[in-house]
Amino acid sequence: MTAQAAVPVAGEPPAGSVPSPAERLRGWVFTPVPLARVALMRVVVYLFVVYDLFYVVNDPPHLAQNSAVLYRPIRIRTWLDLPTPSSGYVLTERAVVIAACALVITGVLLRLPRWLTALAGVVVAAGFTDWVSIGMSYSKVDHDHFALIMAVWVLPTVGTTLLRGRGAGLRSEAAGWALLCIQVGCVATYFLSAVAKVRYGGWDWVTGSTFAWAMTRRGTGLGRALLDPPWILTASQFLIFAIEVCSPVILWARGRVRYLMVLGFMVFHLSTYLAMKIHFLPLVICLLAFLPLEIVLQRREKPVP
Amino acid sequence: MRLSGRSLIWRAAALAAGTLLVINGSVFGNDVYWPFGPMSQFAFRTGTNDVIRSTFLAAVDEDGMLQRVTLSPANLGIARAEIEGQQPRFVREPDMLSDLAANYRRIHPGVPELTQLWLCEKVTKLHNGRDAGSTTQTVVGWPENSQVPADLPEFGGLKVPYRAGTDSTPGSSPGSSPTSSPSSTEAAQ
Repeated sequence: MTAQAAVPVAGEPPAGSVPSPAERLRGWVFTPVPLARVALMRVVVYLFVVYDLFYVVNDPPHLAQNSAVLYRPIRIRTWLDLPTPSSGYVLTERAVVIAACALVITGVLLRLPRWLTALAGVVVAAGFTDWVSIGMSYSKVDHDHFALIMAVWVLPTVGTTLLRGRGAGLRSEAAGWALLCIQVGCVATYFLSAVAKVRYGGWDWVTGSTFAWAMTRRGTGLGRALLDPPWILTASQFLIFAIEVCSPVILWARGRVRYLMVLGFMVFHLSTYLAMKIHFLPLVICLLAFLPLEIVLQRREKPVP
Repeated sequence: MRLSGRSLIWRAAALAAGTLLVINGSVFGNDVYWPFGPMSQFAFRTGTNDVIRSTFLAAVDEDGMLQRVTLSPANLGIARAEIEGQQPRFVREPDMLSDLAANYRRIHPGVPELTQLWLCEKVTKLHNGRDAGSTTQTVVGWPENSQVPADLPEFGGLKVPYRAGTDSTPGSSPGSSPTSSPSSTEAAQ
């Protein structure tokens, strides 16, 4: 972090003054973080959105060809009067989202007009939200995209972020807020999963056979091997419920504890992938918002003397 | 780079609103509130002595071959969980299965068309959390709402000649099979 520390922080209060409670709250919600971190986050998120269109929520082109009888629009689609999807609609939308992603990533590498990258970002946000909402509108709704949807809506608010050159090391409150929103999206996904388990399954969810249900229906060889003896999956239910309940700690944890928690969440997603091919990759990508990504740049770019 | 007062206020308000929306969806809402709906995947409880239902499609093609048809967007235009979420509708309106036959015809040109479909469930009984054996139940058939034949091949693309009148559950009449399909919440995955 030495390179960052050397960069003057414009507008920061003078060092040594005691912050008021309002300043402390501001310091938490709007922690100034290097713009280069958001630049890297943009590269990862917008590349992933393109991947997502083809390998995660890749079914809208198939779904759009179904009889309209099978279309069960979720509320956001009816409220916004979005059309019953057709092939032409979803294929055009996918092409537009890819082009806009390319534009945003270009704006991280080269200096483009600020309005242009912001516009491209909004196009990705609206187009991708529409796309994923189509995937959720045939009566199966997943919750693995919450943090990613939040990410595509908040990332355009940060303004110009370049990977290198002047300004990359500047710390910005707008950047800190955007990353906090993504972090809250991740934590909400975990913590509210525990809330939903209590709401739908009851407090005894942990002692049931829900994971056995999942492994029986879609377990891989490894997943099915975990079915017997049953206590293995029961113990996993206790563990995962505990992880979800404790997840908000990561918002306050700093340094090694925070990075270990990120690693822990990633191991959890890897294990569900190995056991039943459910990876939650859109959420895994958003976990990167907890990491000081810009250190990968500092190794190559020595600070200017 | 410090934000102006106005920038601070709208951002703080947006973060608060988003957080409240998703909490509201989780506590009071349901799936249609997406993206602010409850995080309901795997949130239902399966008891240690309950049954696990898993829907699949069986069909006879125009060559008279009985087979299983994979329920996936690539193979049939729609995923298993999406069929399960709408299963009660298929029971009420068996004609909806004709849409699946039409999808199959469109996605697999040149392959024998499906002329008889059965939506079925593999029902696995749990005993103290352990698999205590499975049975097959017919949910609904189209155009004939009959029972799926007992000699239905296992998964793996095998086809056998269809012989009418080889019901899997002799004595049970069509439509009497359990229709207590998983709710849209339970149909997760």
